[in-house]
Amino acid sequence: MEIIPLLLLVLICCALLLGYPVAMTLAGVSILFALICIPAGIFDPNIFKSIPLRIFGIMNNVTLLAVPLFIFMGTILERSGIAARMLKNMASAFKNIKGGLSISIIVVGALLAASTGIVGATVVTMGLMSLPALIQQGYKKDFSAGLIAATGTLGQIIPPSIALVLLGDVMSNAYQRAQNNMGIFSQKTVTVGDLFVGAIVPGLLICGSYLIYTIYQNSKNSNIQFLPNAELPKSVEIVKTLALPLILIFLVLGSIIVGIATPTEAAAIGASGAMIIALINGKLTLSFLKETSEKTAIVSTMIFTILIGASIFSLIFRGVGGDDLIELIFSSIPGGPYTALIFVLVLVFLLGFILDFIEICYVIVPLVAPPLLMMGFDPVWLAILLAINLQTSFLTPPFGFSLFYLRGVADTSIKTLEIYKGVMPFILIQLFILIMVLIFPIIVL
Amino acid sequence: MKIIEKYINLIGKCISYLIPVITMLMIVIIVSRYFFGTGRTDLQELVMYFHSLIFLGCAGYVFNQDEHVRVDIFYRDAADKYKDIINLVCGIIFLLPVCVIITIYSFDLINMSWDIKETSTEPGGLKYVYIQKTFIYLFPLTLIGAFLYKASRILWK
Repeated sequence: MEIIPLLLLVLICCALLLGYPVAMTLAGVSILFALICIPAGIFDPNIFKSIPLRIFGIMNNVTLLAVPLFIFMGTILERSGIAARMLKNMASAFKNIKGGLSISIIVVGALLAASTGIVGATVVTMGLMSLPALIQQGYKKDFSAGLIAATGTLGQIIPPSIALVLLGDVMSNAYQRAQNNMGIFSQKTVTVGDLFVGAIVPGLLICGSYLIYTIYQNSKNSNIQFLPNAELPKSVEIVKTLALPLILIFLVLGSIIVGIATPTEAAAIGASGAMIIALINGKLTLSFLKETSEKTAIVSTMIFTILIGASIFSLIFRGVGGDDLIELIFSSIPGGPYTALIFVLVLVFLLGFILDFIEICYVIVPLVAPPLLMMGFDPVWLAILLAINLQTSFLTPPFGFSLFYLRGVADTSIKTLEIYKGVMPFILIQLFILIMVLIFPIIVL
Repeated sequence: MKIIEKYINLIGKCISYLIPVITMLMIVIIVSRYFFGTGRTDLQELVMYFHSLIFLGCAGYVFNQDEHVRVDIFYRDAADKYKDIINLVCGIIFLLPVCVIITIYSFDLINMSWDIKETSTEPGGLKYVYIQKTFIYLFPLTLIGAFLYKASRILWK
């Protein structure tokens, strides 16, 4: 009987490639499949009654409220031009250091990524703003492209990333399910805050490795020029565009880590803080507020529509016996828990070529996480592994998302192969950190 | 058809302006909890009403803007003809059944909620759970509207 849920999975994979919106494809294929299964007695139509309940569950999930609030914060910082000026000012603050621009890109990229958390947005912003400047100053084309593509993916792992909010929500459900299946009554929980804390050291390790590699590259390159006649920005300007956003991000992160605020509350503080910064910078007009609200609503709705589509899929997948299929797959993997873990990581890595973080979080993770957690893996550690793994996947040619976005904004004088060549060292760094986290879970815990 | 698109977009935009309102309400909630020690369950629930109103009510608007994520490995470089066929056919076989199923199966849930004028189970919560549940209809209805507009554009262009 395991052939039926497998058939559903295969159909969905094929249908997704058609290019119709993911949310509707996930839900649509599942519902058609279920309708066909009803007469054969394989699917109980009463399961459909759970669909509105699932939607109502999403509507009242307070953790997920952090998603629009974090998006709002990122959109304000990006659209007000504060992010762009942050980069410019940091580069001129580093102007006497060789390779100052490349170093600022990593630092600002990490911060910017942390606030937007969406691969495309960061890569496009950074690519438009800094790629021409980098090349003009004598950095190698392949290195510059690789640097920007890699920095753009940092938003997946550096808290407070939206990816970790979603992953935290999914992981806490998966953990509960795993403990239910194991018959554990005094259940432990895992929260988004735990994931944020767990991601700090791996995130810093990745940024640090990027920095070391960049400094090494710069020391080899004798063509790098200093910023031509750049003036050191006035201290007021530095406070307005550099210090305030930094304080904001540390405030948001700090309040979650110390445990005085939930991620949702911290997100609200972040969003209102971003509004205040925009106000101080003289950007907070009514039309600006309208524009950022519309943009936020669009991105947030896009994400929640996928959540609805994915929850319809998972209802129907379970309804036709999907759990048996997953159990069968995991029990037929030889060699114990670690092979199963590697199998999942490779699978997710490959799926990362066609699916975005949100879909993987809500379609794949709920299926594969409970069996892994039942094998005794730590949920936070598993989540961080998945996050780094996906981040690497988004960077890997030929299908990495980050590369597509960069290709879209990069000048045609930069060859696609140069982009591929440029990201290779960063992929190696990612894989190295991934293996480190795999071998030494202490990094996360 | 044009008028449907116009109204769906108008609804979407108007609802989106709730986002700054949500942010402000959250600040009020945080301040009253941490500085005055009073939990504001009613405001917290109001925030959730607004939040759910946004992503349910904007579904059609986002569809009109073509901002729902696609797996676009092939779609991206495909001919317009292919895109039109996909958007039309998949709309009929995927989007419409999903919307119809959601509408039909939500009917009982929402109706029952209206019959008993369902209130929050939390102490100090709001009394309008039946209204919040009704928001669910916005999702399929705005999507169907947006799809009909899209289909009319493809068929009679």
